[in-house]
Amino acid sequence: MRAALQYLSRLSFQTKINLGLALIIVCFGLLLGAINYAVSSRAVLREALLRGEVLSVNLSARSAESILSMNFLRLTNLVTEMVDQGDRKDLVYAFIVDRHGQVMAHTFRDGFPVALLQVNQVEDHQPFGMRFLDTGRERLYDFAAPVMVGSTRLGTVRIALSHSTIKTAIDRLMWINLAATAGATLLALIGSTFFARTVTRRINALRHSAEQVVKSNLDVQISPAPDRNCWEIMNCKEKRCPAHEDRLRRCWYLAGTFCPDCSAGSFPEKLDDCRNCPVYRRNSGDEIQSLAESFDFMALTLKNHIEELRRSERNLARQKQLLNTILDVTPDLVALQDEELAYLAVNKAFCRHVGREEEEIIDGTDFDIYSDEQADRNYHEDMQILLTSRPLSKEIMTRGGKGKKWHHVVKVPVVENDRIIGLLTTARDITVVKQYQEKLIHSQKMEDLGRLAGGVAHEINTPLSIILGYSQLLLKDFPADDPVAQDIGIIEKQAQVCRKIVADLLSFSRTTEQAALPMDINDSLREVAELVEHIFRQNRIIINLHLDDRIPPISGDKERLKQVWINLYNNAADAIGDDGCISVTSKLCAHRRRLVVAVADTGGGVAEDDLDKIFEPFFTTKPVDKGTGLGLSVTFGIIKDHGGRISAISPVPSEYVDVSPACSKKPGPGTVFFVELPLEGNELPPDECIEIPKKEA
Amino acid sequence: MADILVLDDVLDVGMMLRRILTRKGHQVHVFSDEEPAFEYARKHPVDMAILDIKLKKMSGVEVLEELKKINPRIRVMMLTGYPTLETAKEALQLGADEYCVKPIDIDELEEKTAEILAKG
Repeated sequence: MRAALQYLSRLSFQTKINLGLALIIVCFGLLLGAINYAVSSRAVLREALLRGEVLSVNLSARSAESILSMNFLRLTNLVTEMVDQGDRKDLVYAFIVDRHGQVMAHTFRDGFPVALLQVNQVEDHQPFGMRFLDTGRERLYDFAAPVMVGSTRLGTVRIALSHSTIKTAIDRLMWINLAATAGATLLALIGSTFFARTVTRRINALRHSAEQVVKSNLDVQISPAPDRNCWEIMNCKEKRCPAHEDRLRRCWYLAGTFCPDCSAGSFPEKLDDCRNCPVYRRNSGDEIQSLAESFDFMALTLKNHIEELRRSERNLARQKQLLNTILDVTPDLVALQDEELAYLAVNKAFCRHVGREEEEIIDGTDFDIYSDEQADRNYHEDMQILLTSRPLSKEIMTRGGKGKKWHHVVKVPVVENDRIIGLLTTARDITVVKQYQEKLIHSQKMEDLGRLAGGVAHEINTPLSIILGYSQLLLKDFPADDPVAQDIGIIEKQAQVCRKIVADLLSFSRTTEQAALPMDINDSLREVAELVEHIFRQNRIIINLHLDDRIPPISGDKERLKQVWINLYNNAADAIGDDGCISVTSKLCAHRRRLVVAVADTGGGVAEDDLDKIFEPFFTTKPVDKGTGLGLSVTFGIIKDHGGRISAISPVPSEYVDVSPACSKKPGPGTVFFVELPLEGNELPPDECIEIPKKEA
Repeated sequence: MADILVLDDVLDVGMMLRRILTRKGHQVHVFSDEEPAFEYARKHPVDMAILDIKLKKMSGVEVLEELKKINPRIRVMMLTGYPTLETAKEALQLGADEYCVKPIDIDELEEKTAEILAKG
């Protein structure tokens, strides 16, 4: 039962309408047919019985005379006529018996069945008697009528009507009934199918459109276009009206139409005003059309809405991408933390700095990224900012794989609606700025040192010249072998040492002017190399020159520059000790506005911390009595006087390592000195020289 | 022998020069101020002057210029602890015969003095 109900509920709407209508018609047809059959069959039977009655009474009247006259022939004719009369073969038999029960005439062809005489006795006073007989072969309605003359009974006539004949008539009636019912049902089915189809087609269209909408296809149009549009009906010329020339939507769905009777509201509120409008009366349809129009309108509204959402989404995505691009491209480290100090957002530079992927950092805290100690320090610092809402700005130094790094860190509390909701941290790499700062401080220091040294040298010069003068004077007054002369000789000798130091200090402090004359750097390098070569050869130190012949003559003090080369060569030889190479390279820089002289050795190298100090006066790594520590500072002063710069790198970068076979034994980390000199003017050009490797490299 | 005028703001330097040069038989007059030196030069025709560059009121170059006005034939040796290319050029243009740097060796001083005096 339940399965049948389920099956029924699954049937299509059209089938249901058809089935329902057919069921109603069949039920009514059958009921009416049954009633009709009952009534009409009874009428037919009654009529047949009445006929039998009339026939029997009629035969009785007509046979009275023949019985009296004993005219058997006539009697036989009477009964035969009756049975064979017309085309109605419903009379089965007829016979006449006299008052003694003797058969006088009959219509039986195969002999008279005697048993018939005993059934259906009729009394004299009865007009007739009727009895239903079943002979075994057929069923009969047997009628008997007495033949009376006055009150004397002459005999009895008997006729029998066939039950099957009557039944045939009744059956025919039933079939006609059935056929009429079936025909009516068929007609009803055709009609209902037509009706159901007009309804279901539109419902199906609605359903199809709903499916399309579900599949995100919002370009659906179910309701038919009206044959006359509102601007045609109203003869409206308002082209700015939103309904004007809109063939897809009905005007009563549109807000802000210009009709004088329209209210300003939108669908469905404004519909109340439209009920009496000729446009609405003409174009509005039945409920299904209203539904279809509403559906179209809904789909259109939905489409517009979705398009607007998509636009906003695209806009948002674009803005997000822009923001991400800005954050990721900036070299500063940027991180946003919530009030629990969990990371909400970080940029690429931050990820690179901590060496993790963005997914690893987000939602984690400093304890997941840094060492416990560092994270703890950050935590207390950050909580302080969140509690006091005071921003923090500081410079921190970190030592990592790439050496010293300086960061300028700014931490700002993020405030929203008077409440602190997080912490924005930005950190800028200021290592380069710090390096420049250090360089500036260093050069300032050298400047101060130079001024001091120059001042001291000048002040000492006068007393020194008096000491030297008098000691030399006294020396002349005493014979050379006098012990006093020997003592004075020592004073004189030490005064000469002081004189040398003072002269060096004056060289360093750039107070002495230089004679600027055109000179060839390569020549001066070569001359000095030849000068010191044979001294160095005693310690098996070789000087290799790699000089660039394209270098034009520069303006400089040849003698003082030679002193620079001597200092650098000596310095290199001291660093090597025994067995090694000094590689001297001269090059033009890319922009041909300066030249570089590199003096590399294979010695023990200089510690990184000492590299900046080696140019300071009296700084030396040599043992006591082996050097005053003035050589490089004098060199520094001379180069500075020429508008140049001197720097040192240790160990020697690979491109400056001398690869000649003689240098392969006992190679040390070495040191390379770079002397940069401007080709023109007295100042180095602002562009960097790519020929000089950076310290970090 | 010659009359030599020495002008140096440090008197000890002048005294020392006098000691050295008198040994060679010269007459040496030592001054530490400019005015007395000019006065002396006007009254006595000296053969040679040894001037420091840095003096109390004027520079040695200015003194050189002034002395040349007083006596154009005077020989001059500049002797300074503050050698600069600029003053050296200026002094040589104004007619200085020698530009020496302190401290100077006695032998060199004697030699140069003799050379200058020999020119005159």
